[in-house]
Amino acid sequence: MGNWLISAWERFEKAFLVSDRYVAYLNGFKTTLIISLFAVLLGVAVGLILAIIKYTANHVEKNIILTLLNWIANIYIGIIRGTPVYVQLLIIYFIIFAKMNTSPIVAAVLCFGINSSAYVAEIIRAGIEAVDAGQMEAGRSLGLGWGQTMVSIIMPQAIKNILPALGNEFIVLVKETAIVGTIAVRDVTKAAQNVGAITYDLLPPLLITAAMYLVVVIILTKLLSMFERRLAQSDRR
Amino acid sequence: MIDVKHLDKVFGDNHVLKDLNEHIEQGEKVVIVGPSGSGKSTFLRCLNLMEKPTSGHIVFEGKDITEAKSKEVNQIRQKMGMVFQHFNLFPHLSIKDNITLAPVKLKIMTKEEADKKAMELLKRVGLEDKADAYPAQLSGGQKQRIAIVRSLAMNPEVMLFDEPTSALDPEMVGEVLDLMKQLADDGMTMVVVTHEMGFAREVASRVMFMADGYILEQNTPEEFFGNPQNDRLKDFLSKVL
Amino acid sequence: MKKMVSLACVMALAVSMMAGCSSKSEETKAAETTADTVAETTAETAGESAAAGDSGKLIMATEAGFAPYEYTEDGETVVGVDVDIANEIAKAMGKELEIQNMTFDGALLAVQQGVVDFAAAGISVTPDRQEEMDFTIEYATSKQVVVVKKDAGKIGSVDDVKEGTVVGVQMGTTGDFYCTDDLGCEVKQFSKYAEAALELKNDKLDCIVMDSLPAEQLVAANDDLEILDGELFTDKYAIAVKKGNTELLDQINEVLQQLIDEGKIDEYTINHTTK
Repeated sequence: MGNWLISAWERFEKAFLVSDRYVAYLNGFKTTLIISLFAVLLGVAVGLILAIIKYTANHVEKNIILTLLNWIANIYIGIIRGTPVYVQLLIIYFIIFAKMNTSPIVAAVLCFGINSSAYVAEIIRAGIEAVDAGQMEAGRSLGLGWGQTMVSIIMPQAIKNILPALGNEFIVLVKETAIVGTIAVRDVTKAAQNVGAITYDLLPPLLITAAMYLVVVIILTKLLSMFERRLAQSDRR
Repeated sequence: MIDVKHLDKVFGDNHVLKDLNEHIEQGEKVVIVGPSGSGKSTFLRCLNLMEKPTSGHIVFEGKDITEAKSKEVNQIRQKMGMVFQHFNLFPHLSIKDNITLAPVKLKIMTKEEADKKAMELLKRVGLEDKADAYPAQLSGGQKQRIAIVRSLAMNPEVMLFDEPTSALDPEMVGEVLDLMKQLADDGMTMVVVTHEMGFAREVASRVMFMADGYILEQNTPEEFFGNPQNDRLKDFLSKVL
Repeated sequence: MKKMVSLACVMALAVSMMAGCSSKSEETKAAETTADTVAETTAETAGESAAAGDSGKLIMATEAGFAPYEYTEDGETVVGVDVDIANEIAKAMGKELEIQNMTFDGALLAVQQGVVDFAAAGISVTPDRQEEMDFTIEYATSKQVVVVKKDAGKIGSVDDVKEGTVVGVQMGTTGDFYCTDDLGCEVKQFSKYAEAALELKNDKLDCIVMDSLPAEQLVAANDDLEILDGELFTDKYAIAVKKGNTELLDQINEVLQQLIDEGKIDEYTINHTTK
């Protein structure tokens, strides 16, 4: 038992402490968080446009432009959701951005941002739809335009529905981005792989990395539910 | 003030309104009663184009508004207040902001003017201490009274009420009906869809009975309740009175 | 509500500030003053090297699981013989070296596509590869050896590796192709040799076929594995550039020849092998 503990400690030491390897994990995690954050922001920016297109196409009188935009939006969402993000990553980095001097982190943010947008679009659209239909009726009956009602009445309420789901998307991204090492991004999973490659002892670095993800996800999830409770409270004030 | 000509409304397979013709004068208090599914709410909602007629015409103050463009429709709605069964107050705004949102956004009043008007109206209904409260903190009766006040802030020429007390606990129905009575006494033109027969008797200048998409009978309250002609109406009254 | 939004903004700001403080980040170091002057002189001779020409950066693709040629000691900085060579190349060209550490087959793809300027990853020259990319002069020779688990009994000598043998290889390497195409083995492809080593120790593989120097590092770290005598075949390493990029090719060859003549390559190899 004592021997096992000693050897386990030695393995941990090699994986984490020797040559300041823990710095690689920490820097890697910083990268993971940064990519996830900017991917969510990009996802929201693009997802918002998609959501508006899809929502208005269902709620406003038909016109050619809107129908066309909706069709394009659906194709985009269909393709993004219908292909693995790993394949999207390879295509973006090795093919689409091949000729340009794109940093791998930028390619990763773009890939996950685009991927996220297809899901965020639905989150936003659902958040808007979840607002009681009576709200739009009340606004319109007072003489406010459709746009004015959306901006002043519907969206503020929709945001309360959307933010928790967005927070969750961020947490999902933190885990999903573990594949960016394939395109040479030094995230925390890559750090584990690098350390494993030199120690030839794969288990400790992978466990350490898994633990780091787990701790961060637990913390973020806790923060998110605290946030959700605050939001709900403000409804009952 | 409002003319309805050959109004027809179809929802899918459902022919909800059948060739309705009506005329509503200024100062009238028209109360519409009838069984569920009779088309009363749909009729009301066609008046301010919340529902678009399948065919027929709505004429408001001499102008045919049936095919009006949305900008025009918005302006027309400023003159027609609507009160909903489920209040539809804006939960994310304070009571005062609920009232001032539309006038300010539509540039009818400045924020200061709107605030002043809101406080006046709130005082009138005895709810000025709720100005900074939020809808969630109010009772159903208070919410509906605020909803009425919100519409009044736009200085409408006619007020449309879609079953305003149907979602209220019985003890709160009275305070809302009292407010509506006050409005009526002050001369407001009103079209009210309701099940409150007492209100119809007291306040209506005319009571209208709708069933199956038709207006089957309408008369002064005395005649309507005292001397109903239509068999369906007789049947209806026997069940509700 | 507003408080929540501002809290979220503050958190976002905090994260991006942490990002700015990250000191060791080869991939995000900005190309500075030398880059502009260099960019001008090399701009006329752009050729296929769109990546290098503009920014004064020289981008190298590699797979850092191949000591002594490329590996990490601290888990993030790539070092090794190929890195030392690359540094000399960058110095000679007056550019800043940026290393992108990906998978081996990814590195080959990256240089083919022009995502990077060159790939230095212990790449063996083969006719198939020569169709896809251009190679510099050869700078190292490598035996392909067989690594087995001690006393496992399945593979006694190099000749025992034949059709049906379960062999672990790194994806896209000559070992991979030789065993799959030439020998007809049952080949399992891995991204990193460390992964193959684990499988071998768990008896999921009969052997690993890999280059001899990295194999020595591998068995040094794993007492229960050993290298069989003899070699399966021999490879020569070269640096790969995108097909047609003769300008870069010539520049690299110049540096390589000099390093070979000065015995520097051997020196680097010794540096990265003795611990």
